[in-house]
Amino acid sequence: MTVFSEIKQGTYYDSVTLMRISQEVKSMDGVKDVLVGMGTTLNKDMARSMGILSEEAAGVGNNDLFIVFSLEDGENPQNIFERIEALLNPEHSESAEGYNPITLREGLKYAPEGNIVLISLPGQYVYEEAKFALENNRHVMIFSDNVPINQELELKQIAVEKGLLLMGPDCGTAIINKIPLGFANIVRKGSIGIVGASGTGIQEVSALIHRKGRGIAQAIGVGGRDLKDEIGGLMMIQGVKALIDDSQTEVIVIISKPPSASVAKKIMNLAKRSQKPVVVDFVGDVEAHDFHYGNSNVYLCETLEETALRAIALVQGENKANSICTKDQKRLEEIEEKAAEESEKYGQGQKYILGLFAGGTLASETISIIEKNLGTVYSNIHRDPVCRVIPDDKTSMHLCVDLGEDAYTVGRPHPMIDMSTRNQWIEESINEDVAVLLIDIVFGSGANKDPVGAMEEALAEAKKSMEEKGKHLTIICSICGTENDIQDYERAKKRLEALDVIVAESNAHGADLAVAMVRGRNEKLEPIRRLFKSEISVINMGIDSFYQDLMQLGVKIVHIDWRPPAGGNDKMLSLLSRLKSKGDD
Amino acid sequence: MKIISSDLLEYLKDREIEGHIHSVFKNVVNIQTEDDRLIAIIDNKKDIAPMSITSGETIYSNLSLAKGERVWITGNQFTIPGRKITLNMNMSLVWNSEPEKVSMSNRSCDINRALAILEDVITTHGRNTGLVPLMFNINDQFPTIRPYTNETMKMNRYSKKIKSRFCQFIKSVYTLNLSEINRHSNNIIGFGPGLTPSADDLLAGMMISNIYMAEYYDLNSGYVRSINREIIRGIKDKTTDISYEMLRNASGGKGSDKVKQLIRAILIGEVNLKEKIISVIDHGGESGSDMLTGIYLGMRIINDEALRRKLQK
Repeated sequence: MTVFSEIKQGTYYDSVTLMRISQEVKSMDGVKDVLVGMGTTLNKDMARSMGILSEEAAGVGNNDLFIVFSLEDGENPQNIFERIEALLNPEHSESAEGYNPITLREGLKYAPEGNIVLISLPGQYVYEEAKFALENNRHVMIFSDNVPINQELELKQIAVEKGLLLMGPDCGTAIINKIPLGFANIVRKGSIGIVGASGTGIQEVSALIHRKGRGIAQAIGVGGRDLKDEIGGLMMIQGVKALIDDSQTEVIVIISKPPSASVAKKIMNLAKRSQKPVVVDFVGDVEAHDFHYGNSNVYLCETLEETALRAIALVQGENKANSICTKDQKRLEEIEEKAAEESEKYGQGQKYILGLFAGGTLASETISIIEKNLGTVYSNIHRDPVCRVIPDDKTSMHLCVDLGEDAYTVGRPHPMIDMSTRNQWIEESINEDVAVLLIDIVFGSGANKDPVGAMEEALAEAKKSMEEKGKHLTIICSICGTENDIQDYERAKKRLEALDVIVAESNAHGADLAVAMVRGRNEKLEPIRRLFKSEISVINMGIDSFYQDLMQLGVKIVHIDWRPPAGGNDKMLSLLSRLKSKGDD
Repeated sequence: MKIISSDLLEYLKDREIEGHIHSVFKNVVNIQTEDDRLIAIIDNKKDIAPMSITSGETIYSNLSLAKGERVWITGNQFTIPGRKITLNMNMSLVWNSEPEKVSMSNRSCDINRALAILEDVITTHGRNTGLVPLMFNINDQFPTIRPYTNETMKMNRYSKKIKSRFCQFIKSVYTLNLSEINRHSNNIIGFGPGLTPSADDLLAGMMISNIYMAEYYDLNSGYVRSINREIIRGIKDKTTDISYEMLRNASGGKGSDKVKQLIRAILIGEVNLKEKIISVIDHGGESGSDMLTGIYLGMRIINDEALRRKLQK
């Protein structure tokens, strides 16, 4: 081992530059050890104890920078000195926040400890990079979409073979060892493990678990196509096996949009063989609930909220037969009460729900809940092609739009980041027959830092515009996030409530509220509702004293000076009646 | 917008000072005065701090200022002769560099909750290449500062090297033995990576929080200040000039504006705490994270009731 040093006397470099030099020199070929620091006695002691304090470095003072490094025998230090000079060059140090290798190969050398490669490149470049990462035994998360499915299959086969995770393509969310990747939320560490083929599904369940005081062991995203026949659930199976094996995971949660039947069967069989409880939500797949799992350890849930609560209950060791609070009587009563309060304010004809979503799975779940209660919903993501349409005339229908779908994101950021598409929808698509506007806000790294601020003008304007038409618009928002997210759940909630927005506890709760508000809307009672809201104006027929009394009270009243037909002559009355009935014939 | 810190304004009052350029960074120029103070001229991208002015958008590195160039300061005007560079601070706003007085009566939530958030944010956003791991690895010796969560953090080589000395220092703080505090702080100052070595950043954070916590719990602030004085006594030849100036300011409870805002948020229980923590983390390489470690440990130590009883007025 040979020791070398570079000394910069009385010259100062900012801490970021020093950190960068340390990291980069350490990653260079042949370098055994390196220390970069100001020449204080203690720092020199440190270098001495590492056996890399050169004679030259031993003589430096507090305000001198010293860089000492040791090389394997026979290695040439020249390229290392050149690299240090380049990094100390002011132009370089000012040009970037940190050193950025330009290839994955260089990156793996620079950061050999890197264990996950996160790829969000355009789809056509993904395969080569992901394959390289897998071949170098790194786990991979692919945020990108537009990766051909045959490439996805090949990458996943390699990952399975090597015992690695290949999360994606089109994997928006993962939480590994508490670190949020992609659009994930900051949640506490815990004992519930999630494998999901749905980004916002994972987010909603993990955020709810956190808000209820529990935590996540790991959340593994597998990409939206993993549970299709072409891929066969390769990574879902890999993920579930990993969680079965993980000692920190006590309960496993599986989330996916409806899978293919054969893949669902494979996954459910694996789940049933697990010693750990498995909670499953195939979002919006009503047929899945026809399966009978008897006394197995598998729990099928209908909503993401139920999934989260069921997982929590299982972690807490609660009896599986216990009902969970999404269906409890108190909550139902609260929903009905809130619905009665709101529906009271609606004008004539207001009985439809407009849902505008950033999260695809949240939109799917909402469609499922509304359809179960109110009938057809039109949507750009509807499973039934007949309803998979956004008509130009949006009146007289329940409508749910997933604004994260490709048609709305071409050339612009995802609606979790950029609220302008949704604001435009709010401005242009709220008809006079819309009673409830249902929206989601998805927090997390990568998402808009101030989503409420970006929407508040549009929301206030929508309410005002309906008021001017003599209508009332209920806005219900569910926030998928935690108080630890940079967007701050509690703060956002307060700001929304200040705008008279009802903040639902979950996406499913929001949909339940919307349904109750619209379902409670009995059109036949509309005249009575109008009466209750009007100034009374009476037309009095008969007893004169009623007229006199009401007039005394200042009530608008007209008295009819009523006389019996035919002057009260019964015979004439009978004749007139007969004549009238003939005329009717 | 020009801003001057109140301590610098006081320092310059009725004086004519000759100094020289001590160091030039991308966003900061430091001027060293005859009596060995460092005055920082900062552009608007950096946070105002004690003994500093923010001068506008000037990028100092573009002016090719050189170390050692003479600087005259008369009244509130800085002049670099021969460069035709003058900076007049007469119309500037004044930023109060003194520590803010936040008492328990202003509190809206439990301080432990805020510190638990700080702990959590450090693990997810902090740089743990300096002395941050000490936050999670000294509770074997000081059980009252056990982490709030079950988080663990692997010790790096710096933390391993300094741990026993650092624990001796913490022990001397718990016993309030001033001479021991001085002896042990001198054993750790100047240690670690960065222009302001990690141990210095950590101690600066601790000293600032000492001053705030004394006010917060209405403790004997004179004694707390004497602890800080002992921490920095005799350290001038143990660390860099820039770090020494930082420690000197910190001993009086003075930190940058972002640090002030963060401590206020912790003590009062403001909701946007996380943003404020991250803004401190973003300072420098390891410096922000190390200073947060100091703030955290300083607060945890004074939160100890037994110690507080000893520090009562």
